[in-house]
Amino acid sequence: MAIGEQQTREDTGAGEDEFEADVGWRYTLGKIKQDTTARFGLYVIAVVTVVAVVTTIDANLSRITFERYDDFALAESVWYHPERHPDPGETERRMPPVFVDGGTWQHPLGTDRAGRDYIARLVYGTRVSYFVGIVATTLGLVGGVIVGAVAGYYGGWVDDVLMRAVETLYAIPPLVLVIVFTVFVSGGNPDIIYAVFGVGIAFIPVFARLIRSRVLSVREMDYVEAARATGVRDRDIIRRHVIPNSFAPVLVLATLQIGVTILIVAGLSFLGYGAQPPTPDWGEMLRISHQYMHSDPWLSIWPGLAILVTIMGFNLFGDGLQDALDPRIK
Amino acid sequence: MSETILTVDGLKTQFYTERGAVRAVDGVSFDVKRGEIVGLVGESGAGKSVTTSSIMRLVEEPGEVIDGEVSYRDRTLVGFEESVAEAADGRPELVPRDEMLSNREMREQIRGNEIAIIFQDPMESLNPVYTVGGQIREFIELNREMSTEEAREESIEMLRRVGIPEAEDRYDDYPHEFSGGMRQRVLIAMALGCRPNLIIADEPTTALDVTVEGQILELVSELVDEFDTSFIWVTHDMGVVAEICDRVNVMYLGKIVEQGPVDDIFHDTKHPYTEALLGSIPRPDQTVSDLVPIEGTMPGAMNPPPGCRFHPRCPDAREACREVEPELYDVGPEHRSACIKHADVGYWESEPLEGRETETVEGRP
Repeated sequence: MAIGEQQTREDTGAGEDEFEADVGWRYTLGKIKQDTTARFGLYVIAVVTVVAVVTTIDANLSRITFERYDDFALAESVWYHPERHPDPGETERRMPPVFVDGGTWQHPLGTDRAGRDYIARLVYGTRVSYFVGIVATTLGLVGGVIVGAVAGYYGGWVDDVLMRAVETLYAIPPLVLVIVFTVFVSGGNPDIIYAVFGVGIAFIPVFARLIRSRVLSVREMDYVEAARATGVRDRDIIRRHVIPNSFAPVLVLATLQIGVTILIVAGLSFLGYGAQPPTPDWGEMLRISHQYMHSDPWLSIWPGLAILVTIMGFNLFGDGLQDALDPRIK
Repeated sequence: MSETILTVDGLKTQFYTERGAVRAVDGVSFDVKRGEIVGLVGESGAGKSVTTSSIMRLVEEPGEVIDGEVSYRDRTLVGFEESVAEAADGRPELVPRDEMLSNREMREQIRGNEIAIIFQDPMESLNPVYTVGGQIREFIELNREMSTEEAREESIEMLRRVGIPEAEDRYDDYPHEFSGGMRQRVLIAMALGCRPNLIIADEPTTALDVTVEGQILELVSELVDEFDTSFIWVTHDMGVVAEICDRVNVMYLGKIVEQGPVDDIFHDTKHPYTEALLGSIPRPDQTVSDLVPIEGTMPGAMNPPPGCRFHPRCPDAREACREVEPELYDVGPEHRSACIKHADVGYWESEPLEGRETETVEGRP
């Protein structure tokens, strides 16, 4: 580790009176690589990303991947539609995982009550959770950063108005926002898109407050004053000088927030306000399976584990990122 | 010297605090001619920096420029007139005049391309997330209507001019890869790159060590000769003033106490404060005990002392100094001093302030 640090320092070829820590993507990633837990988080995120992207690019991939399983377990089963395949009703087609009595290698993690392969469902559930986490967090981040940076930079009544508005928003639980969206925008037909918007907007305050506190100190920096004295427009100062210098903690928060978002949207799906059947989604799988908790606990455990591992990945990476970006901690 | 490019007349800037208004700049007047370096000297808190930010109209809440005129060539940066509608207490209220440039005009026409500022701390004045070259280029593009490629060439040229070795390679380096003196050069390159006619240098060499300071001062003199740029040099260091300034304004507690050509200020000092400032500079032929520090500290600008603001610390103060507020009296060609010694308002007839005479006699053998 010491050698690694020395090299980084030499690479930059800095002057002798260097006060700041090294900066830049390469350096940050380098530090994360040295951090075992953060590296683990990075791997989890990488796997989840690949799975989510691949299943999105080619939704029929499972036809190839799962060819050896019977028809009903394949992509068809993932997209099992109640109209084409009427509710099995009493005809239970649940199957336990392979290591439990009655399980087969055909469905290593078993099937759900409609006979859909659980692995296929889990794999396809990834992309819902993943994109929901990213989109909702991005929404909150973009909104929050703009509001917070403008409020912090201008101060005065602009700050008061924006921050009071944001605090009002902060007082509303995400679930309520999602319900309001669902009711007013779609007329009461729940869909994942409303959950994403609701949760994203609910997170605006978190980002706005964080970046505002940073902006308050950054705006006093001489380079901001220098930009003003050189005739740079306020919006360019905010965009080019204030936000980039306030962004490090926001980046860390965003990483952690993706995990939180995935969890909240899974909760919303569980309550029926998120992904709608037949869309495979971990939260929705939990909702269906919780009624079989006693007889078939595995049906709940698999999606639960998937959620746990994914969130843990984002959290570990976020922690590592924080350590790497903040030289004072170590 | 030629054309006067900046005139400041009776400039007043206040900061409103919970305990009352702080008169940070209280009636400051001076001018700057083309191609000259004008010094603005004084202790910390004298109002030097507020004066410069008032000129640029960069004073922020809770501060406000409340009176005075600043004109740059034919444009009015600060200007007031009495409002038509009188305020409730019968006194006419001062409102900005119509010809005063709007904030937008200030930004587009003045800041950067006509008047630029070099800040005090070279460590803090460069944005750490962009390359040095990129920042110079941004400012040049903004103020000189150049394409990105031209601005890049110009930036490299400016870096070369201020003495950055291998300017082409250093263009893509980040600020933390530069030493303090180099960063100061970069800041000068940034200001010069916009080709302003006036550069306000706010204690630009204070954070540097003496050898680097010397190089920077030399560089500035060269650049003044080459580009005919004028400078307002804000500093508390009389040594720097002696080295580069053509004319000097000495500030104390929001007012100019003495102004004149640099030689007169040093060799024909008229104001006791200037004298005290000069007396407190360490010199090789003196030991520390020979130094004559100025007694006490500068009082707050919230309740400045009545009469002459310097009288509580002035070795020559007499009773009259408590009552008469001095103006700038002519004491020589272009040389003015705000001390009532130079006017016929009863200084010489009044008694020395209590205890003052004995102290000065003992203090100066």
